[in-house]
Amino acid sequence: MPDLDALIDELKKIVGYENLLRAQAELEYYSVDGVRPEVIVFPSEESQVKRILESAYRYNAVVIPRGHGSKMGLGNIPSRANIILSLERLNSVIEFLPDDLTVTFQAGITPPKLRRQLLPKNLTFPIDPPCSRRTSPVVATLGGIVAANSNGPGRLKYNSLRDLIMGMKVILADGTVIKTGGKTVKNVSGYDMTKLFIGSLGTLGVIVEITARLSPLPESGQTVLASFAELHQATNAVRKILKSELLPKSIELFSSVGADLLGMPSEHLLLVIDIEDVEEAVNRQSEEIKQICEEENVLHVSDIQERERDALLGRIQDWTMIDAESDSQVCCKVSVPIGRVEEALQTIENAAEQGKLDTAIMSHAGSGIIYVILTPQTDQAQFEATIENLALMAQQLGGNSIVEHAAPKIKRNVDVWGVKGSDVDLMRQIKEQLDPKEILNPGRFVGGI
Amino acid sequence: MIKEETITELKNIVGEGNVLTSTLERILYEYDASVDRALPDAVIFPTTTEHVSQIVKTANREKIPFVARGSGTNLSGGSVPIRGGIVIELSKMNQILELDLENFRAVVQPGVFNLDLYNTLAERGYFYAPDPSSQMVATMGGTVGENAGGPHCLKYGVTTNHVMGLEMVLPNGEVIETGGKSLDMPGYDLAGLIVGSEGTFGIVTKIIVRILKMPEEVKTMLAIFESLEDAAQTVSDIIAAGILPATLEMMDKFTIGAVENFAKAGYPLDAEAVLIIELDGLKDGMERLSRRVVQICQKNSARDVRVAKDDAERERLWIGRKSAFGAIAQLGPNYFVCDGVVPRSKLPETLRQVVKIGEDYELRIANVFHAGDGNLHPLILYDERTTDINKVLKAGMEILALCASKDGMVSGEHGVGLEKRDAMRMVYSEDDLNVMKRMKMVFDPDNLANPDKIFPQD
Repeated sequence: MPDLDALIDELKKIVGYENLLRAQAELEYYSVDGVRPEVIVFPSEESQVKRILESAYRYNAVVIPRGHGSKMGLGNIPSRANIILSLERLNSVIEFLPDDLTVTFQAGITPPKLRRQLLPKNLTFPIDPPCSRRTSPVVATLGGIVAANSNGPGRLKYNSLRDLIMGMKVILADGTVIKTGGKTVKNVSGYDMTKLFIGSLGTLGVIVEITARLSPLPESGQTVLASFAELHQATNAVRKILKSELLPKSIELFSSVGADLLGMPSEHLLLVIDIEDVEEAVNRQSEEIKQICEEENVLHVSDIQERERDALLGRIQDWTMIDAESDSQVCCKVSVPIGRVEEALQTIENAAEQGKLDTAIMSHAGSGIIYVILTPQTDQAQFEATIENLALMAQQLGGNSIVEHAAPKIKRNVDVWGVKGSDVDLMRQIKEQLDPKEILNPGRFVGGI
Repeated sequence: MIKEETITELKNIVGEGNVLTSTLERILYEYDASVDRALPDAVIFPTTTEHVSQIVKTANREKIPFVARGSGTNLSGGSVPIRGGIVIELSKMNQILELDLENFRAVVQPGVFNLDLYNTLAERGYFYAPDPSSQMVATMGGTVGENAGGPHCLKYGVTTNHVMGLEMVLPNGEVIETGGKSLDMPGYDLAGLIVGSEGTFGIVTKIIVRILKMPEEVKTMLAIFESLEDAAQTVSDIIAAGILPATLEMMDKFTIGAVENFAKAGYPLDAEAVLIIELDGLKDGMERLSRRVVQICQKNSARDVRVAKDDAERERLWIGRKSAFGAIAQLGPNYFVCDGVVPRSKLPETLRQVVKIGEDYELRIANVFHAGDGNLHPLILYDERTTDINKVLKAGMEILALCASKDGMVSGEHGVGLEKRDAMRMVYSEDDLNVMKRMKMVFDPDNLANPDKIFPQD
């Protein structure tokens, strides 16, 4: 057990008394899956983050990096917690180079704040993960989004964080500051360490700065809504769209309960296809997508634009947050090869039925990702068995299934990361190299990392 | 030297005919497309992952270094066996294992040629985006090792953006899989770390890539300029107008002359620079965008902008660009290719200074580059019979230092290999390098997989 009083004195000197929380209620509020920290610190400069980590390293104190807390439910229960290191005050844009389509910002900035600064140049950072809108229940920090590799429906057109982030500044467990990558789109100068930190959930280092590539704002946009009676009709439509020349931004498939949660009550399946492109291409894609839906006996098809569209896209983005605070619901993220979504959806329904659980489903059907919110039908519901079944099923289909959020009482009995691969030993060794004292977010990641 | 009984053991793994040990045969594997050379002690042709694993286990037990090799087209010494040992030549593992069109994936062995995969997919209306100029013979394993780029990477990204999963033989012979056909496999992004590691982590034996549908329409244009600056400014202006072409390639006067003589693509010999601009995507709106591109070229004093009328014309424009490195050989017996990269907006000033470096060293420099990515390929011309190669290398280093000073990097797509090891300190601190070295420790604690590459040698 670290000598906390001495450590906390050091931390006070680093960030100042007023930027450190220790009251019982505060510690309770900041606990991670019920594990209470001893102190929360709010550095406002990178040099303070470095010194905090140096102190923690000397005292063998566990550090859990945090932004605005939207991803704190992700991962297994931490094995220890001493310091919660909040990055929320490191929230500035450091360098915006519109001609190069790049921006460098601090980890604590939120997507809406970043977007506001890009807007005058008609540019955007084209990501749409949960909690990235002004209207989101919690507005995530970009450091958290990147550390959790949190992506949204728009990855179908704009790709994922690993394709959009070019470089970082990271502070390691012992306080060493390193730079990864650079400010150029192409770069094969040494190992691509940036990839390692994306999605590492704060277990290898604390991301303090990120350089990302930007996109021009789309000229035009439109969303097509289509409802179907049968799953195979909806998935056939998806398949046809994917095989056509068309390049929509996102293709989302909702079960009828899923659509209810979206605020679009329906007895049927709902397909929401969003298009962003030059104006001519938007109009044509919308028409052809409707045509494809007609071929698959769509029950009802329509399109929406502008504010109505924007509001709906916002609700879709934050759909997985609906149960985030729930004590009794579990949200799983199943990822399968793109063409196997239909099969996966059927299997999920069967597994849930067996486990006496109700489902609500949203799928990024063009990317092979399925979010399922499981709700118990009775007190006999078998969460653990269902979660494990989903993981095995996903593995058989060539994918994986993880628990996105669940109450600690459920997490105690399952590994939220699903089935381990043959590469887990390498991951453990990487952790050992970069954080030999196991003080960064221990226990939360894959393979007990 | 490798012990006789070890050679016998290796022959037992892959068969007598798949192990080369004579001096004459080994000399063929001492070089790649860069300037460094080193003779391997043996060259082995495995045909299965199991072979690779057994070879590596043997090498590991005997502490013999090994280097994976495809066609040897890499440009920085990445496949030169600097400590001798075994060259594991993967050209016989050249099967496309699966075209999984339904899931938008292909699974290939490392010896498959990049262009073969492209052509196989093209027949079915799909394509694999990374397209290095050496794609006719560059192997998929090599492009993974070097994280190869190519002209179409401006819009579609480089190799790492298309590799979804890998099977790899670790330097202890263990076979692992990482990533897969689906997105977001839990855990650290090891595939992302392995791509571009230049064979220093182990030997990739299977590659799962993302494939895309062929664009509905492609429009290729050639814009002709009286100055390099005008051409470079056009590049910036096109991007600033919110247009992301599939490619934005530039060639300077030297290169134009060489290429035209060779490819007869109709490039004007008196122009200072040409841009090859290609738009692709849906046909809708393409006409309007291409008119906009033409306007931007004209605003920057383009002398002429030609739009390819058909596939044949488009093909000719591309033959010129793709054969540029080969065509340059007419200008002098030898050339040295640099591969710096700078933020796009710094291209005009960087170019001016590259020209200055050529003048200072009294060396002719031809420029071919992926202008849209800020990726320069100055080709330093020389004659190895009369020019001191150290002078050429020094000029090359100066160009890299120039790129580094412009917030750029020392390799955009050719890798570090042997040639640019000492340039790493231009862009990374000791702490940055130290973290990379620790990754090497994880994968290859005995330093057997392609040793002495990437890191500065002290």
